[in-house]
Amino acid sequence: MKEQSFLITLIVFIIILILSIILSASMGYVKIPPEQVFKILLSKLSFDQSLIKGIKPLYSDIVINVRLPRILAACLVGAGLAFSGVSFQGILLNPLAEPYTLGISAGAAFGASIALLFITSHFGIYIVTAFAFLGAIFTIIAVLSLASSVGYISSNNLILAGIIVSSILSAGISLLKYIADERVSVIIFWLLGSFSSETWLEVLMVLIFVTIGFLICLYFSRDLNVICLGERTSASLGINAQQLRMILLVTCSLVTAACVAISGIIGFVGLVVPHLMRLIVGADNRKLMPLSALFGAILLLIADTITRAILPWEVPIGVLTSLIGGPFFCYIFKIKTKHNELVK
Amino acid sequence: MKIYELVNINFSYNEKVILNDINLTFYKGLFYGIIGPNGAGKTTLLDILAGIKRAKSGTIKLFQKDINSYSKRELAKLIALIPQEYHIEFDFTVEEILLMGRYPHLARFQSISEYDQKIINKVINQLNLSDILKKYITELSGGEKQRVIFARALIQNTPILLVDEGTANLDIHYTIELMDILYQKVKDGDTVIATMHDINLAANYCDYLIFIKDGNIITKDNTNCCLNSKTIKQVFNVESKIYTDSKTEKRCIYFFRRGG
Repeated sequence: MKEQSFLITLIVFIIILILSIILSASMGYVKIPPEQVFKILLSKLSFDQSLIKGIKPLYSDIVINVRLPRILAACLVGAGLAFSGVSFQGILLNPLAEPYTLGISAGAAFGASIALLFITSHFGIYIVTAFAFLGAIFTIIAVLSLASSVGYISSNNLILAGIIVSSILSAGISLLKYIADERVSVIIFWLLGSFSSETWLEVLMVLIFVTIGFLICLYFSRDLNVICLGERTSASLGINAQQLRMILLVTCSLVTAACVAISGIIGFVGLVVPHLMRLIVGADNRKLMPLSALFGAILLLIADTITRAILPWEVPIGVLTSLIGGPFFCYIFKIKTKHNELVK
Repeated sequence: MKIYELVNINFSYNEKVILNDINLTFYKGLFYGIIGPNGAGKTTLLDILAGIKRAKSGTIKLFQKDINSYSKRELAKLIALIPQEYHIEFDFTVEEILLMGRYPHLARFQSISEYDQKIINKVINQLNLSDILKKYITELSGGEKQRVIFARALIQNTPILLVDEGTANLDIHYTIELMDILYQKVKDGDTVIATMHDINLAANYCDYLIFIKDGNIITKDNTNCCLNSKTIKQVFNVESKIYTDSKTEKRCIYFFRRGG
């Protein structure tokens, strides 16, 4: 029964994702019929030029070079944040953890702010991405070394170290904003997150991180289940909890860093998608990983399409996800606590 | 047949000596009870037997081979541990938790076979868990959780079972139920090593008792030989009277008040 509902959900999600990609690519300032988008995509995938006969070359150009990088970036970042969220919650044994709990977002924001403020070169966007990524990596190194100074890492130490490092970095960001004076809007805009002006190069980078990261997480998902039973039990079931924590921590930190580097800070996805999926398939990480990745992709793509093509002006996507998602999460939380009370 | 052979085992943590020069041999098909005050080193001893912690010095042979020569997964097929703590944050169903007991026997993405299901069903029936199978572990009472954790270890189906206060939160009905299951496993040739606080319970079920205090073995022998008020006084600093039940010939213990 549960096995079946998992497979059905998986297939439904894949279909929704494909439909969303086609629909999203057809929407925007220039309206392109969805069936033409479908043909353009198909011809690109199969290298069959005959499929796009009779379709304006401009349309093909818009879909492939303008909309598709942005669409894929939204999907990849959504997926990456969502399955990283599942991993972080498991590693930290805390359902309230998310990809940003350990300060990765603050590190990326700090790095990006420095690049935005002090470095002006014609590489522009890539420099900011690179700095954001490096900022995130240095942060996670700092957090890990701070948390492991007693010899082994406990989840509480990690969370505490994350909070400490984040708050230092936040102060740093505030200082940078203050120094920036009237140029502060550039920093603020970056911090709010956006998928506009994504390039194929950035998409490729995130694709590599997210794909490899996902495979690693999926491979260890059964071990992650066992970790939830506690360190002694997992050891007696043949799992080295310390080692597994380290592997997943590094993997998901890299994935999150890559996501944040190209998109800015998009909150809520990494926390809520895992929770929503748990309501559907339960806590088994082997099912949670793929479903969360797919749903995260769908969610961010739809949110980005709304701000890009439906709203009369572009709202930063980080704001949109939090505005829609926050109240929705409250609702879910309320229902769940009520349910739990009733059972007790 | 020797299961475990411990020679000169020492363990310390931050300069503090937890286990001091422990020498023990465990044989197949016996029920061992480890008894001692809080902080005596019982749990550490179990962790070392389980291969979770490594002794600082000394050797442990498991089935005549050094315990460190086994892989983690090989150990998980030989030894199951029922821990004291069983706090679980996530909404796994009871069924999912029970299934985890089969993980060491299954490859990563392998689904369970009929044989696995048979073992699981047997334990479900033994412990009457069928009514709560679909429930979430987070919504169970403390006693129910403990029985689920107990069942998970039984499903691991290992020849050695280490029990760390496995019945601490259970009422007498469930305590007897679980102890009977352990006793049956021992009769079938498995070996159970349990830390216990309830000395009457230990006297009733254990073939062999090991008394530990401050990391040292005070005495180890057949239950009827070593369970006497002198040992209890030495280990717990409590006055007691020990008598033999006329019907079962098992030892029973009565503790005197301190105030006299």
